[in-house]
Parts: sequence; C-alpha cells; structure tokens
Amino acid sequence: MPTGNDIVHLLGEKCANRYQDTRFLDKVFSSAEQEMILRCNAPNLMLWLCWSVKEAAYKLHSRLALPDTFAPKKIPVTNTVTFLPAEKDAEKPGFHQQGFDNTPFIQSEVSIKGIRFFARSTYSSNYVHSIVCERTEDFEKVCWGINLISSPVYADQSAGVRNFASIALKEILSLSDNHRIEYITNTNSYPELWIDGIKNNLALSFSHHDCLVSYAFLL
Amino acid sequence: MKMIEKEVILEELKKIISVYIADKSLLENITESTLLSGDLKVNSGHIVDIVLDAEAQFDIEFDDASFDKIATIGGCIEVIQEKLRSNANR
Repeated sequence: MPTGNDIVHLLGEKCANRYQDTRFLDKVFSSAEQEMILRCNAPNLMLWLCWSVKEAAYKLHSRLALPDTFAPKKIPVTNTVTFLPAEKDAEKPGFHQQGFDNTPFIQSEVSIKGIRFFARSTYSSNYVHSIVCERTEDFEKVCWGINLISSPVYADQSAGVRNFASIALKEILSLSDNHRIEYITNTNSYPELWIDGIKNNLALSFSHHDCLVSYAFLL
Repeated sequence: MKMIEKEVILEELKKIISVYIADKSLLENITESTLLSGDLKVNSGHIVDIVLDAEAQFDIEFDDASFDKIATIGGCIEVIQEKLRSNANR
C-alpha cells in the first residue's frame, strides 16, 4: 500500500511571507483554500501545510495511477482547521517513528481526480511535514521520520534521505549491515526498494527540501 | 505583441528550467517530447515556479487548464504560443 509525504523548509528561499504573493496564491489555491489560509492565525504556515498536503497527495496518486503534471489547484484540501497551535509541541528533526501516538497533528482531507485521501501534518518553527494515506486507519501503520542533514546540495539531500530511511528499514526489517539496500527510481519517477538485489513491495515516499529530509512508508 | 519563434521560446524555457534542476546537462538534448518531471527531473513543487517565471518572461498568464498541457517541453511551448496569440488578438 503506498503513501505520499512532503516536507517544506519554512525558512527556505521563497517560503517566507508567501501568503502575501497573490500571483502564487491564485496559481496554487482555490478561493476556498485562500480564504482558509488568510483566515488562519498563522497564514504562512497554513499555506505550506496545504501545499505539502497537495504534494503528498500527488505523490500517492502517482503510485496508484499514471503520473500527471502537478496541478495543485486541482488537488483541493478540505476539512482542515483555521487555528494552528504553537509549534513548541512538535518533534525536532532526527527521529523515526510509527504512527502518530503522542504526536500532535493537523488532519485534513484532500482529493485528486475525485479520489479522497486523508492527510496528517506536523510542524515546527522551521518545517511542515505531511503524510497522505488512502484510509485513516493506515496512519497507525505508517513509519516515518524527519532528519536534518548538513548539506543543502540536491545530490546530498537525495542520498541523505535514502540513508536515513535505510536506518529505519534495517531496524524494522531486522536487517544487518551485510544486507544491501538500494533505491531505484523507476520510469514513473518514484523509488523502488531493492534488498540484496530483490525487489521489495514496501512503497517508500521520500521528500527533501534544503537541509530537511523525510521518508514515509506503510508497513 | 509580436509572435515569438518556437526556437526562441525553447531557449528562454531552458534558461527558466535550468534554475530548478540539479543536473543542467539534461537540458543539452531536450526535444519537444522531453518530460519535465520524468526526463529533466523537475521537482513537482517547481512546476509552479516555472509557470510563474514563464508568465513574467513572456507577459502571459497560464490558466488552470494550462497545467494539463505542460508535462512536456512541447506542451509548454504550445501553451506559451497560444497565450501569446491570444494577447496579440486583444
């Protein structure tokens, strides 16, 4: 069963005060979403939360159907909240976990081409991260993690998220360091997991932005 | 507005896209069938950046339906030409 995830570095270039950029808002969000963002007590955070939900939904949908161009306005986010609690409860990067026990999250719904998905988003002062699943009960089985890496270079982010996910996989699947974990990007641009040269059915979703990396997969 | 040749649009598009991809060498052999995400590895999030930059560069506006057509370089060129034509007919 696939999932989709997305992380946004809130302090990244082009992220600060983007809610004031009306051209961007009009390209990405419906008028209902814009109203929700602008009514929120933390409009910029809500903007990137909605964005990350759309991106995560797009990634999940691309696993279920042939990938299409990312058209964010056609991926409506609904049923979210308009008051975001302070970020002090959020976990600092550098963790792996399963499910959302004891983790505060914002739940929302999102649909793409008429298919409804469910999203859970977590945030801190410098990131927002969303995971999208087909069913709400899937969130109990989702393994995910967020980490900080030292280099913002694209190739390092890509390697960094894969190395970070491998740490979790080794523990969950009881693999020793002798096992070879590889991620091969397929023709639809998503990573396939291969262990010791054999394709594994775990469908991992990777995301990285600047020095932040995250993964998610369903057990 | 004066119509712009397809080759000129392609060169401008390459400049815009190059800002958003890690491996600039992928732009060397692009054709109209080159896929933005699959071939050039454009991150989905940067599709909107490319659209906004193209709007500013060509003084046009992509509508919501335009997003359905921009999976390939040829699709992007087609949308830009279409918008330039409708600007010229105003």
